[in-house]
Amino acid sequence: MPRCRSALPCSPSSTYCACPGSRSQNRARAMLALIAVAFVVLLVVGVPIGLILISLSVIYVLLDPAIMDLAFAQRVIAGTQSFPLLAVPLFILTGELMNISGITRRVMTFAALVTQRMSGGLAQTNILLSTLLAGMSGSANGDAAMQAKILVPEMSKRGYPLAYSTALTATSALIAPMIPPGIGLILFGFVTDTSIGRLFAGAILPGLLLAAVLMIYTYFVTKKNRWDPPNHEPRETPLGKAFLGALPAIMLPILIIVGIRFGIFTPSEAAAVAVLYTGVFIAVYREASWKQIWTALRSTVVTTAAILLVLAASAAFSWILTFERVPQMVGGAMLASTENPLLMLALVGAIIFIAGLFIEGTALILILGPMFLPVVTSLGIDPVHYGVVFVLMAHLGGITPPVGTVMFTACTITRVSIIDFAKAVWPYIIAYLVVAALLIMIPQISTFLAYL
Amino acid sequence: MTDVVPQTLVPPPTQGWSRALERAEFWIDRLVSVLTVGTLVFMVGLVFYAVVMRYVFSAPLVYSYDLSTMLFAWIVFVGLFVAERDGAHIGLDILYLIKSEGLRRAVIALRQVFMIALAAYMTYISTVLILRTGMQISSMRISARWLYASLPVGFALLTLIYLLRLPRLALAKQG
Amino acid sequence: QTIRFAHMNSPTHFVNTAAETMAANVAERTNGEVTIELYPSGQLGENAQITEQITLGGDLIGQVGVGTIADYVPDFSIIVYPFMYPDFEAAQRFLASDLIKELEAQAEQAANAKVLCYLHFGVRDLYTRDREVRTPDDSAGLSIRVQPVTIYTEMVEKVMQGAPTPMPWPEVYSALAQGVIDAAEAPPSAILDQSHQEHARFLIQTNHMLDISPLVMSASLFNSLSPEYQAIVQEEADAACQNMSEASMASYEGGIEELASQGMTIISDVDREAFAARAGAIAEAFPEWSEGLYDRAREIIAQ
Ligand code: NA
Ligand code: NA
Repeated sequence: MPRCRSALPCSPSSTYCACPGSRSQNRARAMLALIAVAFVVLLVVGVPIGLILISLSVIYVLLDPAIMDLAFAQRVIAGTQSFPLLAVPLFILTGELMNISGITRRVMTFAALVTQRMSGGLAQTNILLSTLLAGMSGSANGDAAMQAKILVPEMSKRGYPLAYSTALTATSALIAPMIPPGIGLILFGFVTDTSIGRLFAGAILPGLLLAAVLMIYTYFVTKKNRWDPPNHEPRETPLGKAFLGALPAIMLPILIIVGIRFGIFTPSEAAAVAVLYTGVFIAVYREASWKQIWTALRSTVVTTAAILLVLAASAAFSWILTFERVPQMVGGAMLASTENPLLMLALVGAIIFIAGLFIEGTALILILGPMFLPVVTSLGIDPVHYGVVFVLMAHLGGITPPVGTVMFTACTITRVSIIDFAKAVWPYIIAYLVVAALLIMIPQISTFLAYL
Repeated sequence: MTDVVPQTLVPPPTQGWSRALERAEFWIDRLVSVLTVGTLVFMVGLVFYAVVMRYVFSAPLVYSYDLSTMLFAWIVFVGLFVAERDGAHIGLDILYLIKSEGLRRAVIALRQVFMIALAAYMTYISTVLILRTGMQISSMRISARWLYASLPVGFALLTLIYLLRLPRLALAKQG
Repeated sequence: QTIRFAHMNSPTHFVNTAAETMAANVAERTNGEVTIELYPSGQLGENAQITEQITLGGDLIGQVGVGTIADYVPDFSIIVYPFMYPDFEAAQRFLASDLIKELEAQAEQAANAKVLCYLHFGVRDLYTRDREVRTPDDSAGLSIRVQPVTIYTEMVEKVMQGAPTPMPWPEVYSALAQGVIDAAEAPPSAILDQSHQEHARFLIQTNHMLDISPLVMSASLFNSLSPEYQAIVQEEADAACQNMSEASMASYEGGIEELASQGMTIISDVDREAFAARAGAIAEAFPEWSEGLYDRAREIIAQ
């Protein structure tokens, strides 16, 4: 991001430089203070985040005559009008269909056999299951809901504390959107014009690293507490046979990555293929009822509408912030604080972490992702590296109290209070931050597969 | 989020008028669900059909991108009603910290009135946008009104569900 | 008064640099009373949406596509009719004609869109993976990526006799690599920008479309300025269009050389007459045009 050039020390026409102390900037600051107050009030009384973002935009529309109400309405719709976004409902539907098709049950059998002889076997199953199913699931919420319902009761039977099981389920659910497909990655690629195919490839190793770190920490914590000691009895089913059952789930991400990278289909078309792929297993296994299929479809509409309201509202709000030159102000302030790429990524990570305590990760990706992009690229950071770190940190917001959708989903199902959840989840948050630190320091983890 | 118990604070219907409102919500939800799910299935089919036509038959559909994104907007905005019904528009839920029952209800009712006003405002400006737009969807050579209409229809339905819930939030006895 | 100047190009593109100069000059000549802020990269929306914001009364200048104004005044799309002009001078003559003045007045009336000036935005050529094309028969049967806009799809079908294949621009690279499409069409600078030359052997100088793009300003905003400031904005816009056109023409020549040096075979002996002879059929796809528009335009250009 270039500084104000000396020939035009403070020209409002320059694309990237803001003029400190100018009248327009003071007004922009006053507006920002006002919307910050409005944000806190609306958040506290429980207005949904998408409607909060619309409210903030409406404040601008009413107070700044340059921002037209009709143009704002246009931006809300325009926020949904992109072909890559179709991947969002399609991958959600794939995950929903997978859970009723019988694939999930087979993968769980396999995961339980693999982890049977480990300390904390069922906890490890929980993580491994999230990892293996990640290739068919694009959102952490779906993964958390399913496992909170199926696995957590089993864990309780084996003596794990309920809050711990819930925290583990919520944290390991964050693996699902990192390993492709992932809705966060799609949205990030969409708003920053980064190749979604590259982001998918780049996030594979970070997703696996996240799984590994969670498993290592889980090993120590279950061993120390003597939860669920290793079971050395012979396996009920041969491992190879169980593996064949899990194969459909493991094959799908490979199919998707290969298909996208070789130009056979675009990410959204890959998603449509994934829906039909899962549909084939529903037809073959014949385990799902028509009622379950209806529920899966309806619930896809529900989740899509909820996510896309946030997206459309973010898009329109970002348009207003751009109109008001807020990104330039923020970018200038960030560059003023550090010019070291590592520190800049760490700063970005810290900002997302703090914002993520209160705001849905989707909104962060959509508003802050493109806002920080010119700053980090001006320091020579690779967009895929930045994207993977950004999306990883944005997902973390899903499990950090007081606001986090994955946390809400898991806690609602297992009936654990947010306070108990917070007490159980913080060591996992630290483990997660260790992964983030590794990704920041070693760009190759994110870029190696992306540029293969 | 199939499995999430709705986080809504709407009390279960115990009185007659409250049950009538719940029934109204139920039947509108039925209708809207069928329409949005049908559109979703059609959209999946269209995207897949476009892939097949392009790669297998080398006869690409010129309109497939614009038509599928237009259907997507309808699913999203009309789906807002279904999502609200399922309590999927999640916000911070800390009002239980207010100990006084009366005060808490007042705050919730006020919030509901605010959201009604907001949704009604969105319905209004997007209706005006429809009346004034001259934009065309180039691949299909139809007016952008076909797309834009999804916004007022969606927000009008959202206004409606908030209105149906207002009396129950403010007046109904907790079941 | 603040005017926001929106366009889809990158901050280093010639449109943005010329617009920066325009902004600086306008600010200086009006003592900062009229300032122009730049919004590159589609920050405020895409072409059609910017045009719509202008028609709704937004305080904007947009460098937009002709087709977006044709939404309001259908005849406008005649300006980018394929195989229409022998050179840019002919186009400039046409753009100065009474016919166009009449259309501009309609756009101002019907859509609040005041055309400040037109710029030469690029010359579009066909490029193929592995087929040499010199005549319409050579291009028959090719699947050619185009924007899903009637004038392009009709051109591919009626003139080139190929299959118009709409596809998002960023997907074109891998589609060429895999042979999902056989060809695409774009100005050389856009081909270089996406490295399409890596998977396309032939660039055919069809020059099928002279991409003329208007600078459009909200008419209500323009009319609210004093006559003195109106003149300043108009003069500086004309100068900007001039600068942009010169840069664009230079970038065409430079782009062709660069593509050749990167191993693309440039085919320049194209039978443009044969293509142009077929182009008349495109007009049939525009029943919304006023009677005889195509023939009148041809007459003016032939003069
Ligand atoms: Na899990
Ligand atoms: Na995934």
